Formats: sequence, C-alpha cells, structure tokens
Amino acid sequence: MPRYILLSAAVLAAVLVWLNTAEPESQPGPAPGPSEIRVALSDDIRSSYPGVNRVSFSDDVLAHVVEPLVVHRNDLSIAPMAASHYSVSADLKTFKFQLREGLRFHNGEPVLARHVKMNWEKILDPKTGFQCLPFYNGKMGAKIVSIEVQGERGIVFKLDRPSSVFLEKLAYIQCPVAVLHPSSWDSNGNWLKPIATGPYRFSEWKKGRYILLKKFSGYIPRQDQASGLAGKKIALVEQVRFMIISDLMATKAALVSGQVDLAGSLAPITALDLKQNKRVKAMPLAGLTRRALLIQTSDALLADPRLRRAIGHALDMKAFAEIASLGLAKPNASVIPIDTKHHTGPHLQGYTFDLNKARELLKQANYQGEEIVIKTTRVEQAYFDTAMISEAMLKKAGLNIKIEVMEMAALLGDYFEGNYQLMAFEYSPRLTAFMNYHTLIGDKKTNPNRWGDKKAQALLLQAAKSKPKDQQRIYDQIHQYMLDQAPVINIYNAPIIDVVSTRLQGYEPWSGSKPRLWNVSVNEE
Amino acid sequence: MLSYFFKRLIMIIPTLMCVSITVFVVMRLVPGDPILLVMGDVKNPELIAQMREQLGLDLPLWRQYILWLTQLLQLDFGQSIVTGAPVLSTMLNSFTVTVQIVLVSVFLAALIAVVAGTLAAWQKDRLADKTIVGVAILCMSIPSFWLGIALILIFGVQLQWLPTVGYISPLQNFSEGIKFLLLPIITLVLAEMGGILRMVRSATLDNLQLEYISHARAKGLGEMTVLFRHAMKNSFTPTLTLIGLVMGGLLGGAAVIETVFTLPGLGRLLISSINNRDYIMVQGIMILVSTCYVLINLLIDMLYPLIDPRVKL
Repeated sequence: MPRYILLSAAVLAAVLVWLNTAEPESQPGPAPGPSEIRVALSDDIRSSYPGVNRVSFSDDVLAHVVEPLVVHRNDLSIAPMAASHYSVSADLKTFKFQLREGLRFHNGEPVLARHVKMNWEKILDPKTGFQCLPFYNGKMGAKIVSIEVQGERGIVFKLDRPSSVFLEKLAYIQCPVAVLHPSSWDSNGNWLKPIATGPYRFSEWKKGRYILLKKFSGYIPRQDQASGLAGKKIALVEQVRFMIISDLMATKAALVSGQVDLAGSLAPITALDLKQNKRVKAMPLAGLTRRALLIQTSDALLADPRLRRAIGHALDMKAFAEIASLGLAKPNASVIPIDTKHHTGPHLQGYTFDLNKARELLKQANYQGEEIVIKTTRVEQAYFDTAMISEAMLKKAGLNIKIEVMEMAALLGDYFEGNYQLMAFEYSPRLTAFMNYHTLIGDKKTNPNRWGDKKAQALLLQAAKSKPKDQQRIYDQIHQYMLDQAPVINIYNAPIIDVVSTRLQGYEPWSGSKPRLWNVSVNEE
Repeated sequence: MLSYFFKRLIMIIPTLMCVSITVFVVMRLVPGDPILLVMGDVKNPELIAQMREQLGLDLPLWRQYILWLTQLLQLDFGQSIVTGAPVLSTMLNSFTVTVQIVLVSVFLAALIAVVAGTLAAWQKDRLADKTIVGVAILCMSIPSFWLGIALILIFGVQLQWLPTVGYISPLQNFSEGIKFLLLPIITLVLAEMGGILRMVRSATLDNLQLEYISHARAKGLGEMTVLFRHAMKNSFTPTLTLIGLVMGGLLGGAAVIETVFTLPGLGRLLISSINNRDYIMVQGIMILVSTCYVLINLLIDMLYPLIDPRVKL
C-alpha cells in the first residue's frame, strides 16, 4: 500500500509542478508594504478601455489612470482637468478647450490636440462600442458635427444644436472620454491597455485577482486645489492594487487583518460591525446614490397616477430613511440629491405620510385589492430592505403587495426591459441634476424603464438647451410634475461609508462614490 | 481492458453532447440578457444590434448551437461575451488554481480517511472508533463555508498567521504561495474527509468478517499487517469510487471555498460568468468540468484491476 501512496504523491507533485509553470507576475504578498495601497473591489472590471464595456468598478480604477478634458469638483461643479481652461460660445454650440501645458502620456510623450481628436474619432465610431455614444451622436441630445484642432493644444467641438449639458456629459464619471496615446492599441487597432495621462499608470491586470496601478513619475500636477476628481493630484505611493474580493465577509476579514486598506461604499450595518476595530475607521458621508421604488407607468393597474400617488402617501419616508440607513440619511423625494446645487426649496417637497389620503386615492382609482409585485434581489441588501419596508408600509394602506426576490442579473434584465410593476432599485451617483433626470425620463419605446411622459420629455429637452441660470426653474417644474404623476417614488440618498485602514493618511471619501487615492500616503506607524 | 477503455472513451461523446445541449438551453432560458447587462443604463440600440451580430446572438438558437459546436470540435471555445478574452485560456488559468487545491486536498483527505477509517473499524465500538466516527460526523455536518470563515477568523484575523485574501502560485514563491493555500486546503480536507472515512470504515468492517482475514490471523501475521496489507487493500476499492466522485465534483469548482478565500479558481469564474450571463464562458466551463468528471471516473475504473486483481474489465 505505501507504494501506492508514494506513487500518488509523486504524480500529484508532477501535476502541481506542471500547473505552476505559468508566467511570472507581480505577486501581492499577504499584506501591503509602505509603498502600496490596497483597495477591495467587489467584482472585476470587464475592460480597461474607458467607457467601453464598463462597470462601476472600471470607473473606480480608471479615475486614477485617465483624465478627461473636464471633471467634477467636490461641489459637483465642472472643472478643467486635461484642459487648462475652456470657453463656451453664447449660442451654446461651440466649446473650445486648451490642453494644459506639461501634460504627458504615461510613455513620456507630450499630449497634443491631435491626440484628443484621434480619441474622439474612435469614440464616435460605432465599432468602438463606447457606451455613451448616444450622448454625442444626436441620439440623446446634441450631435458633435465637427472637432477641430487649433494649434498644438487647442481643440474645438461644434454641436448641431445648443447644449448647456455638453460639459456635464464630458465629465460624466461613468463614461470618461480619456485622452489616450495611440500605443494603447496594437497595429490592428485592437485594444491593449490605457496609455493615458493620470497620476497612476495602468500596470497589470490579473483577471479575477487584482489590477495594479503604478505611480507615473512624469506626472505634472495642476496647481489648483484638489477637489472631487479635479485639481492637484499627487501619487504619494509607488503603487495601488485593486484586489477583487467578491465576498463581503472576506472583505471585512481583509480589512481588519490589514490585508486591504480601503473598502468603499459599505452598507451601514457592515460599517457598524467594524466600528470597534482599531485598525480601521469608518468614514460616512452623505451620498448621491438614489434609492427608490420604481413604478412601471405602462402597467395596466399602475397607469393611474392616483394609485401611484397613493403609494407615495402610504410610505413614511422619514421612518423609511431612518431604518434603512441606520439614521445616517434624510428622506429625499426629489431625483436631485440633497445638498447639491439644484436641490432648492421646491425639491424639499414630497409626499406627506397620510394613510387616509392614500386610502382615499386608492378608492378614487377603483383599486380592488389586486396583487402588486415588488421585484427585488437579496444580492444587494439595500434592494431587499427597500422592498421589505415598502411592503410593510404599503400593506397598512390596504395595498396587496407581494415581493418577488430575483437574482441580480435577472432583476437588471427586467429593469432594462421595463418588466416590472414595482421595483426596489438604486441608481449609482449621477453628479448633475440633468443626468439624474436623464436616467428617468425618456422614450419608452427604446427605453421601457423610462418615464415616457411627453411633457416631462419636453421639459428635460428644454433644460438641455437652456442657459444654466434658467435650468433651475425647469428642474423645479419637473419635480412638481413628477410629484403629481408619481412615475417613481424617490426615498432617500444612500450614505457612503468608506472603511479605511488607519495607516492611510489624507484619504477622504467623496459623494461621487469613487475612491480617490491621489494625495494619500501610508503611515506605517 | 484496452477495448473497455476505448469503449468508455467513445461513450464520452454522447455524454458531452447531452451536457452541451442541456447547458446551452438552460443558460438561454435563464432571464437576463448579457448584452443589456454589458450596455448598462445608456441604451444604444445600434450598439446592441452590433454586439448581437458580432457574438452571433442574433441567429436562431439552433444555428447558434451548431456554430458553437463546430468551433468546439476544432478546440475553439470562443470568446467571453463579457471581456472578449479567449474562453479556453481564461478557464485553464482558473482551472490550474482549482486543480492545485483539489488534488492536494483530496489526496490528504483520502490518506487521513483511509488510515483513520481502517483503525476505527479495527477498534469497533471502542473509544478510538467512537472518537474517529464522531470527528468524521462533525466534519460532514459543518458547512464548508462556515468552516472556512471560522478558520479565517482564527488564523487570519485573530492570530494573523495566514493571509485571508489573494493567491500566489506556490511554485513561483513557495513560502508565500503555500500560506495562501493552507486554509482552503485545510477546509476542503476537513469537509471531504468525513464521507470517505465512513466509507472506509464500513468496507473494512465487512472485510474483517471474511475468512481470508481469519486465515491471515491464523497464519500468525501481526495485527497491523493483517489490517493494512490485507483488509485495507480490499476496502480501498469501493472507497476509490467515492474519491473519484469527490474529486470530479470539486474540480467542477469548489465555488464556495474559492469565494470565501477569494481564490481565482474555476468555481468563482463559473459563478461570475453565470451572474454576467456570459453564455460562452459558462458553456465552455461546463464542457471542461464534464470532461474532467468523466475522465476521472474512467481513470478510477481503470485503477480497479491494479488494486483488486479480481476485477476484470
């Protein structure tokens, strides 16, 4: 018998040796050293091409690597980034940008206007698969009719119609239009990796394991104060490693054992668990993520706005926000997040919690106790909490509510296809009022999950064409009209809780829900 | 024996055909459109149509299947819908990680189980037997994810002896790599050992009643020789079947363990591919897993005559 054991052991050893003859890699040791920051990502990126085949994790990583012409500051205003400055014509149709001096690609070459133009030509080519192409080809707003190079560093965009939201689109964190060097593609035009202009360069991507960014030593920072994704960015550590950790328990264990330095946007209950640990600190901040109960306005039963308004009045928003956020969030009935520029007086208005009024509206809508289904998922606890609390509250008003729990991809599939009556949902941060309304209002034929109301669409179109000073009035109007029509019940903006190792110095969470690891150092003491 | 081997090899073809059809159909019945998931919230009908065309998802289902099968016969597993990476290399990269932990775990679990199970049978109803069986039942009763979490909390968080996340290939850096694999291997050994041990004990108990054992004892052979040279050898044949099934199952992806320990193995890749509705990747993984399962069981069958000369194939 021992010879069988020895033989098996020998075969096993041979197989293991054969399996491990893979390419060498930059191996992450058990704990990060003083020159490395490790960040937990709950899923892998799909591509390193900014705005192409992206997920929110791609934005988290690439925000350190690429710099669009303009970005958002902390107060969500627009600031130049790859551009030194910009100007907008009075008719809102011509946008001129001047690239900032000293801007260099990660391979050391200077960035010229022709590079910007080359990137835009790729973006506008449908074959590239740029996710936000409809923003620029006339399908969703103004169309870029020409891009002109002026001298070495001047670039001019001309649009077919006025657009006051063109800069917002350029700064949209989900579709950054990066300035990339031609060597980001191979000679056949296939994507390799971003050779861009940010303070960190894209070094290595081990799929399913980690993404490694290294400090770009040739980076010349801006001199204006760091704010949001804008301003002076300095890479203070040699490398940043984004570790793919899909299990929440594993993330928590890695944080408290010092194997990762940062886990962003954790749920309040998770952060509470970690509060007692001396190695980490929880950094809560009012966030822009919008938690809502979506209503399918084309559903036979829910087509009646009175029934939809009844749902609004049956929800005790204050209690809802309190319970769901463990007291960290305030209720917000507006699509526009609290504490942002456009969340003015009229946006404080919402549905009053009034069960009698809800019952009265149900009676007027001739509601006979038909079953209404809330679709949700347990993959994200917040979705399930929203459904559960809604169910309890709506039942009190006499609504016959049933919860259908689905797997995340199935829920998203139904969301995109508009296949729901009610859906517990959350929208990742949109940094401007226009972008927030844009996720909700649109043509129902192409986007069944949008509110297809003609008046609302016309108002949004008007906002896109109006001068910034006139936009507030339109957003106020849309909010009033939404309260009347109730195509969605906005509940609250989820707080952001970044849990950070105490060895990190200078880290600040951001309401845009993106980790920012420039100007952050490591203190080993 | 050789003709049996070839017959079994040929039988793999219809098995894999059934698997391929089942996986192909089931994946497409699951709600959730992979293209819409890739596209996100900014719906771009032209891009959606372009992607469907590129990936062949605009074709009738039967044509999609035939195309995929034709590629498969040329060992072309296609490209991931989500990342565009070649399916074969992606899954082989993950498979190597899974194979490492599974082979070592099953080898250790079998080694411990065979020795402990034989001793338990020899000491039937005594303290040693009750202790061994008790431990085996405990190991079988504890869910592997719970065990993994408990080990992480003890050795990773409290004692900080071992890392809790990540992976390094042990042959590229043995001292570091082994640290990452130790906890998952211990978890799998404990989780799988119980079942094998009970099978060994039961088979050994049966064998110890047989005449050839009495004959061996009557010859004056020592008890250990009787036990490990004669009884254990015959008990091992049914155990081998169970080891094959365990190994086949785990190679299909020790998904829970890989998730808890964030190992970039096949199970984690499969779960992530299912979540992203990466049809091509899921289909490829299932074909790989089924092939492994069938081949391992064939290998086990071929080993029977080597261990037990009474077995004729």
